[in-house]
Amino acid sequence: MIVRDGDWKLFDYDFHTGRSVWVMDDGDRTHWRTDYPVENLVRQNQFTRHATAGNAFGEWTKVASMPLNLAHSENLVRAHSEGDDRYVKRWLNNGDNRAWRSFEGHL
Amino acid sequence: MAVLTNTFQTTQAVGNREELSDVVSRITPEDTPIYSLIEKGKCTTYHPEWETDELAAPGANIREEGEEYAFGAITPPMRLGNYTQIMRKDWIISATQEVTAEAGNVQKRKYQKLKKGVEIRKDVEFAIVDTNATVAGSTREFGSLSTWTISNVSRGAGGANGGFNVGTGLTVAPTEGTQRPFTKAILDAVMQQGYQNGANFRHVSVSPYVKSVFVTFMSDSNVAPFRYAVSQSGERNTIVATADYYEGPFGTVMIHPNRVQAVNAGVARNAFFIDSDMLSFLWLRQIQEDRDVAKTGDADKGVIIGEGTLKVHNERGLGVAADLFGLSSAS
Repeated sequence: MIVRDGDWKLFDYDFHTGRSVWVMDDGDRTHWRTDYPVENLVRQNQFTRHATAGNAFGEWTKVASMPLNLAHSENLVRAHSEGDDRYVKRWLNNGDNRAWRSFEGHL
Repeated sequence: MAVLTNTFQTTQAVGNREELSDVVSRITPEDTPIYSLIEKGKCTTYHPEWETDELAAPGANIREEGEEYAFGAITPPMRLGNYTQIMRKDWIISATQEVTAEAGNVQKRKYQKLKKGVEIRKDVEFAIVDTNATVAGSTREFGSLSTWTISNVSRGAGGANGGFNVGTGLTVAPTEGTQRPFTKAILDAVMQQGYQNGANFRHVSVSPYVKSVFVTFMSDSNVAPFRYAVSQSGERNTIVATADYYEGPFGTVMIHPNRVQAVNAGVARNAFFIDSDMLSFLWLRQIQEDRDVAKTGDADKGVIIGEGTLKVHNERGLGVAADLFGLSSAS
């Protein structure tokens, strides 16, 4: 059975996390789309930020939690592998990306 | 410059080959964390070899005045190698099904090809994280990550390292120890060994269950303890599906949940610590479609095949916390 969303066809679905990967062929190119339910994650990060507010950095402090596809598409994984900590930290410290932060401290 | 009328361009062609391996590498890189992280290269034989050389450990260097020289022996570099592994995915669709399901056989075939391409990439990831030692011969197999790692390891009681055997030129599978829960002490032990051996661990690849244990390390005595909000029934658990950044004592580490490591208890029991500079994947034959499969009968056949191997530049840059409960608190 093929599950469709308009022109998109469902390629992969993860029941545990709700992540779905869709594919669409426009004749010339194949397009890919990953849908990721993030409502819980944003709420969880907010909860953790509040719970750890005012804490100093501990031994192992989770500073951010984000969807995997975002980490890849924003080149964070690559930058982190290559040791470009300034890029990663600038991205994480950016107020626009606050939803993914689980600890308030400035990196 | 203008293009002459009727010039046949690649954008109009329908049968041009596409680099399938490039396509599948770009699709959902998060499905195969380790393979996506490491550099991809080429090899020209089924048994690529490389060398590692290292500096002697630092020690006291105090000499007497007027002393005659004495000369130490040179330790030759260690010659390492791995064998390529042939991986294949195939399909056969009856001609009737081909036209029944949807119009356009090409689309149907293309879809299968992509699907099998992604599947074969996950098989590459599986071969990296399993515990199979190198096998030479015609049914070759490359030694997986855990068979190489001997320096930065934490194993359960009775567990023993495998490692590369210079005599045979093959890696040896590690001996499994008694399983134990993942703890911060295990994490810190591997991180510290790695630091002392010159590794720069930036990524940790674990089974989704181990990642959920990792999250509890935050509730350290140094920080105020807290509990996560329990997700309401029917809501999805997001903890196991995210990339997490941790500020730790040895720098920033990114934790990847690896769904390929959730396939069975054998691959879930290891947590891999990776310095991506120390690892690469060499393709002898990139993932490609075999377009010369003979058509017989009333069906469309397809084969996707690739041959490659894992290159561990230096196992000191890698770590493993083995024998963990990887699927649940007791398995």
